[in-house]
Amino acid sequence: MDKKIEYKSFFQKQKSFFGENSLFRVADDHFLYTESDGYKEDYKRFFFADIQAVKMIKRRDWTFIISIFVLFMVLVMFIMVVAVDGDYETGGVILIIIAIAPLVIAVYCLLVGCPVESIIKTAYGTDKVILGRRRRAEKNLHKMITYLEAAQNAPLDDAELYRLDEIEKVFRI
Amino acid sequence: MLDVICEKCSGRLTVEGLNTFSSCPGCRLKQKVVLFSSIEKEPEKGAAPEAVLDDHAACINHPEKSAAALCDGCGAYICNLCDIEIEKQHLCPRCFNNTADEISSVSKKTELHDSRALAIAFVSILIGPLSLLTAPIAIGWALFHWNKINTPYKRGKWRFVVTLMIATGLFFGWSVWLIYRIWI
Repeated sequence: MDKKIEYKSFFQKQKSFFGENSLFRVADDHFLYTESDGYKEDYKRFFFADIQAVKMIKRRDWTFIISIFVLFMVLVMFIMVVAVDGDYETGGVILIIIAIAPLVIAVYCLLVGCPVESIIKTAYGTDKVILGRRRRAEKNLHKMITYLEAAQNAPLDDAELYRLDEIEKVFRI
Repeated sequence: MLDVICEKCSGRLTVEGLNTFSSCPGCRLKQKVVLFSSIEKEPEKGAAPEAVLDDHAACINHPEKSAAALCDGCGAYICNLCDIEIEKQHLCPRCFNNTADEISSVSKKTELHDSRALAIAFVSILIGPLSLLTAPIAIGWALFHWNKINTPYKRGKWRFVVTLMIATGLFFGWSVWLIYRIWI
């Protein structure tokens, strides 16, 4: 019973905010999704032929977090201009550092893209997976599609979607 | 008509906005939905079992159905519906449930004993002479769980090897130090 399936790593390990990491591995006919806290691993298998849809949702708090960073930066800059005179150089430097730190974080966040919640829907259920932030998630999805194309005609283009629009079906995702 | 419904708010997503990020009309969350052709597929329910005949054995779970296989776990007759074929074995649902965690290709979770053993070994480095107590635990943990890593993928045993090297080194090193301090 101990026959191991040959897997290869599919894309980079993704880390969640709470330190859990996730990894997709790929076999001949399925993905193995692993979530781990370092000492325990949970597995989910997604067979290529079963995957019906992948959904990515932009997190709503994203704009709010960026706004807070920018607001904080503006506030510190304002204090710096109003309260610090030319003689007090050390205080000015500290305030500049405090003001620039959130700017650096905000720019980094903008570069890596907003956090997205990713969901894989199969005929048997809906599972949350970590595909990374938006840019990486899009890249990872693109990689997944290359495997899915072999198993089914994926993804559906607009013409296919309109053909499906003719059939009576309710699809929840 | 194909109705794609947002599970969060039950809002109806338009076909035009599916393959790109667009707002759900209900919850206003920006989302991208990529659909695949298996959307039309329904879950397979398994082959329908045949009705039992006079000279045929019946399924243990469905007495009116003809047996198609013998369970490799308990030896019971099972029909097509009950037959779970996995890793070249035929199992009845009960045996499958009892042994699922031992079958690497279906296991859903695994304790990573090698990572734990390695963590104990690294902690042992930090606690100095107290590792005379923790190093044997790390060695024991590594040896006891040597063959008990049941990941579906191939996982090397290097963590166990490193654990044994560190823990053995620490144990003998601190033992020599202790003997030297006591007797010399």
